[in-house]
Amino acid sequence: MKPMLHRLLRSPAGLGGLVMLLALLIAVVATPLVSPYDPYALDFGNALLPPDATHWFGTDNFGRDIFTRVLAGAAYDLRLATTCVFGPMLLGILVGLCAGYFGGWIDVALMRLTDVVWAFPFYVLVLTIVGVLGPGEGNLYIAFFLVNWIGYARIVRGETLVIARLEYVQALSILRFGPARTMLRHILPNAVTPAIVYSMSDLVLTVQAVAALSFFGLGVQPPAPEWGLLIVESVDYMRDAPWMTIFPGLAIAFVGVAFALLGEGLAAALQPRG
Amino acid sequence: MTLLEFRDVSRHFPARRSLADAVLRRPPAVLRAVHHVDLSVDRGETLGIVGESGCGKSTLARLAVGLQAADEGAVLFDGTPMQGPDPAGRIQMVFQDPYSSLNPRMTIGALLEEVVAHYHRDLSAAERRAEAGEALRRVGLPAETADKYPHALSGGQRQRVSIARALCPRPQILVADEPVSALDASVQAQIINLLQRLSADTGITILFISHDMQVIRHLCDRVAVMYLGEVVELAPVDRLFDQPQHPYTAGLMEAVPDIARRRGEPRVALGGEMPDPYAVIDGCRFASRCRFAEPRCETPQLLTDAAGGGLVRCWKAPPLAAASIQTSSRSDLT
Ligand SMILES: Nc1ncnc2c1ncn2[C@@H]1O[C@H](COP(=O)(O)OP(=O)(O)OP(=O)(O)O)[C@@H](O)[C@H]1O
Ligand code: SF4
Ligand SMILES: [Mg+2]
Repeated sequence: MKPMLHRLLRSPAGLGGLVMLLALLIAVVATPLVSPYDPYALDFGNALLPPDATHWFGTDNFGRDIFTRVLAGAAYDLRLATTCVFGPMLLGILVGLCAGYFGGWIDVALMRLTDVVWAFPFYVLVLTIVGVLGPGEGNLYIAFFLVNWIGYARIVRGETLVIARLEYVQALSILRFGPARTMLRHILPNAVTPAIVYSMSDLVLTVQAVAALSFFGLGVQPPAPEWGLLIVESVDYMRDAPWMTIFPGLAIAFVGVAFALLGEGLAAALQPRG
Repeated sequence: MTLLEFRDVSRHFPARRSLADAVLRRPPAVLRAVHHVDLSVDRGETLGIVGESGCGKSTLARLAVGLQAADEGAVLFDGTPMQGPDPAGRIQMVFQDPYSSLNPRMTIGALLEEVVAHYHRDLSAAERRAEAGEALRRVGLPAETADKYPHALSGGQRQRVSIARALCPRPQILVADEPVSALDASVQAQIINLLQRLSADTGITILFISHDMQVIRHLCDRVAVMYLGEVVELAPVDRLFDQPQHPYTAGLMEAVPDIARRRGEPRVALGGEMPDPYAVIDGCRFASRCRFAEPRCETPQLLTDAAGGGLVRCWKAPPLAAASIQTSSRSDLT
């Protein structure tokens, strides 16, 4: 564990990504404590002010401070993205491990299932779910949990197939170690690296998808300061108050770059040698 | 005396059926990786298995430890048929590739202690550590090795760790599948010496698989020669090397310059290619490469008593062992 963190911190990409995310998290936590503005309170006297020393990112059409709202929105987007990535990731890893380790009909059944889910375009699936259950944050979770595990299941299955054939795993069967111990303690740590690296790009995509779904009214509902919603609300003012669009957009890009860098750093740090 | 017995053991691999096969309802081609092998390993001996690549050595090893099940016949330990790996860990295995036979993410100490804990659940953590240290000492590694990861070790050191891991359950048989083939010559000798010392000190039985005649000669008490899934000759090591009686065994020896020179006989190195393993005949499987083949060889050959001891699967062998060599030298001249 320790040498991995060391290696992560020594790689410029990993360090950069980590610093960016930490800075964002600190800002998210600290802003409500130090900011004089409320992300929800209306103040029509100060509507559509451009960025300046008092309102760093300007204000929106209701006079709300955009800097405060963007950081409050980070809580939504990061919570949604991490839950919708790491939850399905655990499921997918377990599925992939079982499929690759047990093989036979278990493998066939699980992989057919991934094919079926994969065959539905994601947005069609979300539209169907939202159509049936109505829009809202909870239904976003359902949609992502149904879909996001597939990639992990496939990645981990492929790795497991290779590792299960290695001689050290055969030695474990001769020693009669049970499947749970063999899979979780001896195969998983060697199979999971590409899944972790993939999860970083998955986070980037999921942040964007969350924003996009909210943009189309399918996800988080107003007046939450979710980034996609901030952009929707800005559309009518784009010409006169472009800062309303630019800063939430930059926030999405910032998080995307941070996760991408962290993924690159992790890819190097998680190799067993070096 | 017999500790491990292969009783008429076969392991066949059906080929993947092509669509045409399925349509025509042809049965799939079958590869007889191990075919009706009868073999007894005596307590305390080191039995060598030798043969070219693909003759079924590793399959036989996996059958012995229970990684694969026999299609026919049975593997008996101390007279009892085995089903899968032995729960008491009495048969353990050392593998060929030192780079994939250890979990790269565990320290040597952690992986040995885990094995110890698995077989001796009542030991305290300190006792487990001591037992793991003892295992390292038995294979000639310093105690500090326990804190290292596999990538910090050389191939030879890893093979020692593999042996230590295999010894942790206190097995009675060690199956070693080409344990030195991936190592440098000097390191090979060290590992061979280690196995020899273990056998002498603890009386452990070793099933030693190799394609290297020199190594086999150095280490083994008896040797089984395999060809295309069958044992074609089985003999005490001296008899085998002094008077190989199966033409295939003789060919293997000729391929080794040192042994061939020592025997001072004309060189008749193995010619020809191994035939398609899916299309083997009922008669002598070696016939396609045998210089002495004649029509009678097309009938199934049985393992029969050989002159000078052991068994051989060639009807010409006992009386012709000497004569064949004369014929061959004469035919070489013409
Ligand atoms: N799981 C399997 N499925 C299909 N064929 C197999 C399988 N395992 C082994 N074989 C075939 O059985 C034959 C014997 O294989 P085996 O690995 O036992 O040979 P070997 O003597 O150990 O060879 P080598 O010296 O190359 O290790 C080979 O032709 C191999 O292709
Ligand atoms: S049986 Fe015939 S073909 Fe087979 S090894 Fe003996 S002489 Fe050669
Ligand atoms: Mg082999």
